[in-house]
Amino acid sequence: MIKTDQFRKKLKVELDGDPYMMVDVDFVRPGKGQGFVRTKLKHMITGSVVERTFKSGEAVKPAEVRDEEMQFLYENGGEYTFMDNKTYEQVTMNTDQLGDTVNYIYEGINATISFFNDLPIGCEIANFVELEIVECEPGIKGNTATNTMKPAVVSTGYRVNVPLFVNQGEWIRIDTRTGDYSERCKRPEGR
Amino acid sequence: MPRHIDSFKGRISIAAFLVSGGPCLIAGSVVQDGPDLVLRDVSGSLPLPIDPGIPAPCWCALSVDAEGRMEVRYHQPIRPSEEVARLHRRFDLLKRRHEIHQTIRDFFLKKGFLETDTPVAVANPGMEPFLDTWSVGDRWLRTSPELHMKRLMAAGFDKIFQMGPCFRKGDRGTLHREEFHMLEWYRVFADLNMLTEDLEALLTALAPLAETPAYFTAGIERRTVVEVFREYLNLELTDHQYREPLQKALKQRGIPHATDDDWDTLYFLLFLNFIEPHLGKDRPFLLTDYPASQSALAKKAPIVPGKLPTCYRFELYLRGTELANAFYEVTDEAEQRTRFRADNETRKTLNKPTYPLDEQFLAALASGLPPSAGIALGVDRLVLALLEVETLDELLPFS
Repeated sequence: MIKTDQFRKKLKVELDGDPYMMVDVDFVRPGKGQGFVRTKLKHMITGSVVERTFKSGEAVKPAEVRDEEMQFLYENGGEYTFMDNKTYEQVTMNTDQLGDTVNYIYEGINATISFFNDLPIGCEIANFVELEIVECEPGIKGNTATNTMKPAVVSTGYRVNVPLFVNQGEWIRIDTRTGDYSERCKRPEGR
Repeated sequence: MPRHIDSFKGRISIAAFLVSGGPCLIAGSVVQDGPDLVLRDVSGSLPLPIDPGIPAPCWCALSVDAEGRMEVRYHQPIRPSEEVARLHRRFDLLKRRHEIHQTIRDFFLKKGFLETDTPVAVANPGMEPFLDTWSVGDRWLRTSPELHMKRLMAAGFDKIFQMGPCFRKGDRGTLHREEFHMLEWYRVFADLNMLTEDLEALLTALAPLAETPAYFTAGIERRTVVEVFREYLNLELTDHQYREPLQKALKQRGIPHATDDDWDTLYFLLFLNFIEPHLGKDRPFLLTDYPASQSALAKKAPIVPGKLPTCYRFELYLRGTELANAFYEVTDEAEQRTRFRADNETRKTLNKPTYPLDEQFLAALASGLPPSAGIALGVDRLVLALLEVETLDELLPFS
């Protein structure tokens, strides 16, 4: 059990059977009375944020969350299958569980899957991914301006705005934290 | 040589740092050479580079021209450290903070209050069951100067104030520090209305130093505990023992609580979650008529059947933050002794050290302390509110 004086940001706790991550922690003592600890907690599956105030000294259960390095294998009807590189164990996650990550994952990409009570609840990938442009208007040669953008579709089906000089069949790097185009790049080896 | 330089000369044997053309410094001392004052380089290894990445304070330096005229120049330290830079970044903020302290002092002095000081290491710290402090030898660091200040009042000091450090072990948060700056003031032959007037006048006096002066001159809104529970929770508080209505209100709103949580704990869970954040949004707010179960050192009000038993206590809120706590003081020795004993009993059940009763304080009450009112205000939080800074970490220079 974790007592309130050990509360800190990013602590993973279990409340009412659900895993939460602390995003804000503050001590408060109204008047000269007993102390309380105010927290903001983010539900690790739904992402919703709740506020909870605990009495000082109260204890909560740590959330048993483990992370595993896995590889994305394939998608089938909205179900995404990952495989543990060491044990060859496979898990399936749906688009709701993956959130924005579905926009960037391609066969063979490495991902960190978090498990709560052996159920997959989250998927983290690198901050940048390289993807091929499969659809966009022809590039305008010599126009190196980066502030004028045009729509494009990458191999995962994700739509992203790219600068005018980028062509179909070229590869770009996307920032997975913002979903934005980052830069043009070479086709990564082996892809 | 001008006289003012002559008189200063003896002290100019200190090294002076002078700007030498480019972005580098030389160090030297000013000495008299015949009729002239000249700068002698004493370091022998200059110039030194300045790291432009680190902001640093500007100091005044002296330079002397060919005619022996002294000139004041500004320069930066040769090797500003991260620590100097960190403090320097807060220069304006800290200056404003100390101006606020000075304005508070001036306010009370002009009102005819006497500034007092009382021991910081005391034989009897406050008895409040939930406040903890450190022992120093056979003494304790004070959690408040109130008992000593009341002893002064009993001896005839009718309007006194004090601003200084107080300690509360374990209180750490964005708005809590274990050592903090407390302002307390007391009036004999006074009630909470007079303290409210003081408070209103103090906030008005401080308004010119505030980011948003209009907030502090808007006057104070006053509401009772019963009124705010009715307004924000649609809950009618009628007593301070019957827990069911509070448990129900918490359950409705999905706030967990333990079955053995007492009335005051349930009260605070509701108050902290649903009421406090709203208090003092547009202007300073006084929450009055506290439940009698939270009277601490305040006199209890006469009991009215069917109504929440209350005490003469108020708290000041600025933009959702609690700032000050005022009592119409218990002046009856027997009543005070009973409360101290009860506090010690509570301390025992919480496995906390018990303290000897402060007999000198009790004797002061027994000698006949007239009706009095007193208030304690967290100065650091007041500065945050005035300067619209969010956390103590952003304001205070040292952690």
